[in-house]
Amino acid sequence: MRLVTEAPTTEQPALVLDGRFDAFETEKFRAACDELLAHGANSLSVDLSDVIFIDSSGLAELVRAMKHCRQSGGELVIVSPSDPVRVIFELTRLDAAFTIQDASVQAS
Amino acid sequence: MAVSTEVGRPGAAVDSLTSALIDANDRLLGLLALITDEAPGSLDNDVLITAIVDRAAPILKLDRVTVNGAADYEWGSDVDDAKGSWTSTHAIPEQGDVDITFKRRGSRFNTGDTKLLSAVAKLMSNAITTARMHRAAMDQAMMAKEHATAARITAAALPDPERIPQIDGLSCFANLVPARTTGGDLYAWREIDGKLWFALGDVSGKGLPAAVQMSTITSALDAGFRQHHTDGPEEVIAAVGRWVHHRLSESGMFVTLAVGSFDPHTRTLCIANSGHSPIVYRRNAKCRRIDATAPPVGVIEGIPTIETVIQVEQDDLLVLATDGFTEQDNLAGEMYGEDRFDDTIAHAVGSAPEVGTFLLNELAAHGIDCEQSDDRTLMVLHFS
Repeated sequence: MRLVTEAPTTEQPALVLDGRFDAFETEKFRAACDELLAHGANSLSVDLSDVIFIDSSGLAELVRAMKHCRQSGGELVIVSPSDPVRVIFELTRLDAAFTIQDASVQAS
Repeated sequence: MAVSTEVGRPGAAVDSLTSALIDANDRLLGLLALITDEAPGSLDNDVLITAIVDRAAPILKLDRVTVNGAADYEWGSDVDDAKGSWTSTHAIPEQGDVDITFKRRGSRFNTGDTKLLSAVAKLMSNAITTARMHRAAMDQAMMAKEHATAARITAAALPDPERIPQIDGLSCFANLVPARTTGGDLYAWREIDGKLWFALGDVSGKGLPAAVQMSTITSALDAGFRQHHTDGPEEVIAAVGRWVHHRLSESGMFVTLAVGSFDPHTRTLCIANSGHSPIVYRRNAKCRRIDATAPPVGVIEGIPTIETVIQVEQDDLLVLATDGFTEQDNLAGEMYGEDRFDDTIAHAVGSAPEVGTFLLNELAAHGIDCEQSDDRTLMVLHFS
């Protein structure tokens, strides 16, 4: 998985992921989230448009980060999940727990 | 080797030379014994070093030996007026350097002495290194043993595969294979007042951390079955959520969980689903999904599920699995997939054990020569 941090010094930095987001990649994601949240951000955008696979460990990391943001009065926004990711969110009803936006909506 | 001569007494010089040669030979024999002697059966640095020093000190007429740094050791009384003092530094892997110092009062160390001291110091640092490696290997073996014990304890939370509920008009099959020694997949079933109560779930993550949560959840399910068997499956899930939500949440984990009941008298099947997939109901070779109506337990507290109620007919089939089943790769990297899962169920025939075995064989054929990457669980209920 590739992970890029965008706008790290703003109030709502973004993490852009691509590839597989599974148990082998969670530490990298957690470290990036914790770094951003420790330096003043209370909201995060997580772009999953190029993620081709997500497993329960990846989902658990997103849930953990979402709770962290909400405890600080912020929000974690899932941006443009790819079809495989969107299907998983729907099957597990995690779409009811997360704020999910398309990139076009976010840009506006 | 020190040789003294007395002028005018050639016989004395020969005696002295002979004595020095014998002394040198004794030292070499002593060193040989030091190297070839069996090391004491201990992993304690002090014991190992003392065994070497006890041999080396008389040979080299030592009064003081100290080791400082990654290992600490002192032998002999402190020597302020030492004429001979010699120190060497040795790197102990993954531990750091040790300074090994030898002192004696009587005379300085000559070239021959320092060669022997160097050999003795090397023996001492090797002993420290070997002891460290042995200790690390023992720690690792102990950890593996503790892990295996924990795996056995958590696996005991799952039903005995030989004890299958006997319910009129129903055959049951379950199979759980963790990817490692243990994992977060779970299933449970229990007959209460002639009705079957069952559950299947998947704790996020893998290995022992997931297994520990799994064990808690199976206990909560058992309590939920007992306390809410006059209610519905949604009440069992709600109760499990109340009991385990905070524990899961604090660990950054969740569990996808499906709970169901079957009443053989009314032939009514009820299922509540918190975030679990896949659950397939087959009738007349057609499959339909029983979708989740709430997120997994541990994500957001208190979101209720909505029960799915089915009046079962003869040869209907309910199949529940975890994602380790549908996400099994083949050699080409292609997942088994939910469509293939549905197709296989549509064409399966026979009782629950026959269908379960057929589904497992189909999966094995797909994933032949491929590693199982995730915990995998399958439960089949066949209504006759």
